Amino acid sequence: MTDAGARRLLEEAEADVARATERLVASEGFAELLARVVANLVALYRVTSTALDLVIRHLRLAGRQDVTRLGRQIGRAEDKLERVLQEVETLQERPPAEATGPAGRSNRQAAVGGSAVTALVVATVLLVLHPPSLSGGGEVVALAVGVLALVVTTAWATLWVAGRSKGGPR
Amino acid sequence: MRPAEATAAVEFGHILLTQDEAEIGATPKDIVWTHRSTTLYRYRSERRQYPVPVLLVFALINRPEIFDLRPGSSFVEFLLEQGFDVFLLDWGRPGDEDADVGLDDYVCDWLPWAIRETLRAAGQQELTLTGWCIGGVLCAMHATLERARHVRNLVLLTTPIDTDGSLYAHWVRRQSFDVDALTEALPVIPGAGIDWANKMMKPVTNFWTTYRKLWDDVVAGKPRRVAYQSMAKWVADNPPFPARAFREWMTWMYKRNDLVAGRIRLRDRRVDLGRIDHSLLVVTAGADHIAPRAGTVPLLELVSSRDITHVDRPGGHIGLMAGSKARAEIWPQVGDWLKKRSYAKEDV
Repeated sequence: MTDAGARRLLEEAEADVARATERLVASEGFAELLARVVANLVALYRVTSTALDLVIRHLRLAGRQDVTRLGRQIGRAEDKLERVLQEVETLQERPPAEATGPAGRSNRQAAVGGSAVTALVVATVLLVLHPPSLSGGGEVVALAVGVLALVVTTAWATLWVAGRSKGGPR
Repeated sequence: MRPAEATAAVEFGHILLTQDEAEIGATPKDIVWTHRSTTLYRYRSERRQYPVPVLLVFALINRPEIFDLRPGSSFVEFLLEQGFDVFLLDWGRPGDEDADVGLDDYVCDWLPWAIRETLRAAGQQELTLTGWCIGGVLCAMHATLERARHVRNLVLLTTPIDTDGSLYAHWVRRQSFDVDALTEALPVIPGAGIDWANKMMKPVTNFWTTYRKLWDDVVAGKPRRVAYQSMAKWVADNPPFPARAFREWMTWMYKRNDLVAGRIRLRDRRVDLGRIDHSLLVVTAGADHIAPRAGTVPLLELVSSRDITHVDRPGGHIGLMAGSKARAEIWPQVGDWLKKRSYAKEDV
């Protein structure tokens, strides 16, 4: 037999064996055997590992479990740090001129509303405390000017105090 | 043994013994962001032409260097040459301390955080999310939760969606395979164990044929040393799988097939694939035994995207995108698809 013939026979045999072994590993018997072998290996590992850990612990040495515990804590700390870092970066990336956006507009609307409410309350109190006599036009004008000045001043002061108490740039 | 065979045996042994010296993931890149074991990289490029960045997300098993396997055979290199701004999300190597990390952490926290950092670094509002295998599932889950916010394009490479009829499901969808006991005992599932299970799906191909072909090449005097070593090094590098994430993955995807049924809930939000309305590219491989085409195709009917492209090519789960033919066959298709969808919106 020539070398080429022998080689061809060898390759055919190899292909046949390959197909046969692939059928074998796909069989129920092999799958069951694999499962049992894995279960036995796991049990063996568990027994050995537990015994070794006991020996190490009784020698008052840091064992694998202790190192693993520390490693896990470091991992969790790193997870938290990453989340905090992302929050910080998100805040840094936020555009600074928020007052020009919709939020800024709502702030201005709130300020105008606050002024109106304050003006109404102050004017009502003044009217109750000092009801006008309506005896002279000059007094009425003076009273109106006085009330207006007081209302504007009070409204401005109220908003200024409110803005300071929030502590933010708004 | 003839002298030529003795020489070949020495060469063969040398290739196997020095495979760890192969350089993979060599394209220059910068770290953009790190969190726990996760790292986001941005590849250096002076040819960025398309504003929408591409974020690559690989599976939780094996390492993401498969996107950038070796010079001349690197999907990342290809994308950079085409003018894309490329980022890579590396899940790292979880340790025992990550036992309580679940799929929700990946989908609801780490992936959106990486997207956020990608957009910040690129100075953009939207990106292309490209997931491979489990990475594809994570991306799809994210796209259902963060609907159309920052993801413009979704690219899913050999991604398992409907696991009915798959070999994995056959192995684990039985009471005797107690995934709860497994994940209670082990804080992380060893990557080597998962790799062994993957290889057992095609035992002769993985444990024999690969080496036999290498031997034949060496005897013939044309060993593909660099190609073999880089792939072998990548295949052998298996990070562990966090226990809770593994339990959720196996239970939801394989024991109960919850994803396709819309029964998965992450932080009180339902993962409904119907909410995917992004431009969608789905790539399947005809000979994929890990994420068979039949298990991916149902996605095309479930999503609400109007712009859907399905590319199906012969090839395996990894070989399709990282094999010797990928550069000539599949990458240009992916690149062309991306180019049409990676302009700034005002330019469209």
